[in-house]
Amino acid sequence: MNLALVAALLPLVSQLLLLKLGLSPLVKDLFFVRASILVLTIGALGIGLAQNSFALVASLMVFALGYGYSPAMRSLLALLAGHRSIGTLFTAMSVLETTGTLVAGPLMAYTFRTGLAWGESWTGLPFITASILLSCAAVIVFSIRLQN
Amino acid sequence: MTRGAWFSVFMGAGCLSAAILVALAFPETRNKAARDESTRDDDDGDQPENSPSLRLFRCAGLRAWSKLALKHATTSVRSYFWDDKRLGLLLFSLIFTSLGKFISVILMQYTTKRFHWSWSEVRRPMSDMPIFRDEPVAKYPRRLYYRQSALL
Repeated sequence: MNLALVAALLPLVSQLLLLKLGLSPLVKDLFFVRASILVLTIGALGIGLAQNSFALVASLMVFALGYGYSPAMRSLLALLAGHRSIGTLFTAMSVLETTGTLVAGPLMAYTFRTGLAWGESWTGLPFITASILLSCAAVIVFSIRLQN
Repeated sequence: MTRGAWFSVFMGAGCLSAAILVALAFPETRNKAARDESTRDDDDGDQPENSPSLRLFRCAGLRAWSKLALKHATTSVRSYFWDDKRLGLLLFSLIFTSLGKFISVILMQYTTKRFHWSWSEVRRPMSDMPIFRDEPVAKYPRRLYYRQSALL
């Protein structure tokens, strides 16, 4: 699905936004980032709250639709940074992502253990936590306003 | 047909090798004029052997080079996070998204615990999403198939 998304769906929507709707690359990337973070948040919450296999698979599909978040975010940041050194920007991004990953491992393990201790219906606690964290990012992304 | 665990390892290694070959064959897409411009402007650019920081490292040694690197890092942090708040906020959001996206690591463990699937059953929906397929349910674990057919 990721292949279909990256090879077909995202380029198609991208061309549609650029050529048909006449959006600028900056606005188009912001649109992708907002849409992706929204589906990532909803997908993670759905996985955490899924009561049966069908709900789980549906939520996984929604979550997988947010696969385009990282490329769109990189493109948006590069466009916003403008003429400033892109190498330093990408280094800063890698540092922040690595910081997040360093915290994520113990945090997810802790929430998973806590969820298991609370009972079977709380097994999805790490996904609910992830959804809360992603919604923090969503608040930031949706608060960004582009100047004309 | 069951082929064993090593088959997927070899398949993965084969696909990775093919991907490396394809990546190596990519043509240079960046405009040469733009590249020349950026190497003139940007001291951390494409030609590290000519960068001022490396020249300083060769001439003045590690201490002076560390000072310069620290100064450069401080300037960059101030430039990205303080001078341009919008850029800083977006960069800061990357911490949350990398935290959030880490869930894929425990997804299989969660599925086996919560829905009592076997590890081999779990691999399928994780790697083979059915969004563009016509026969999604039949390909999925028997439990899901039974539950769906009970609804019909």
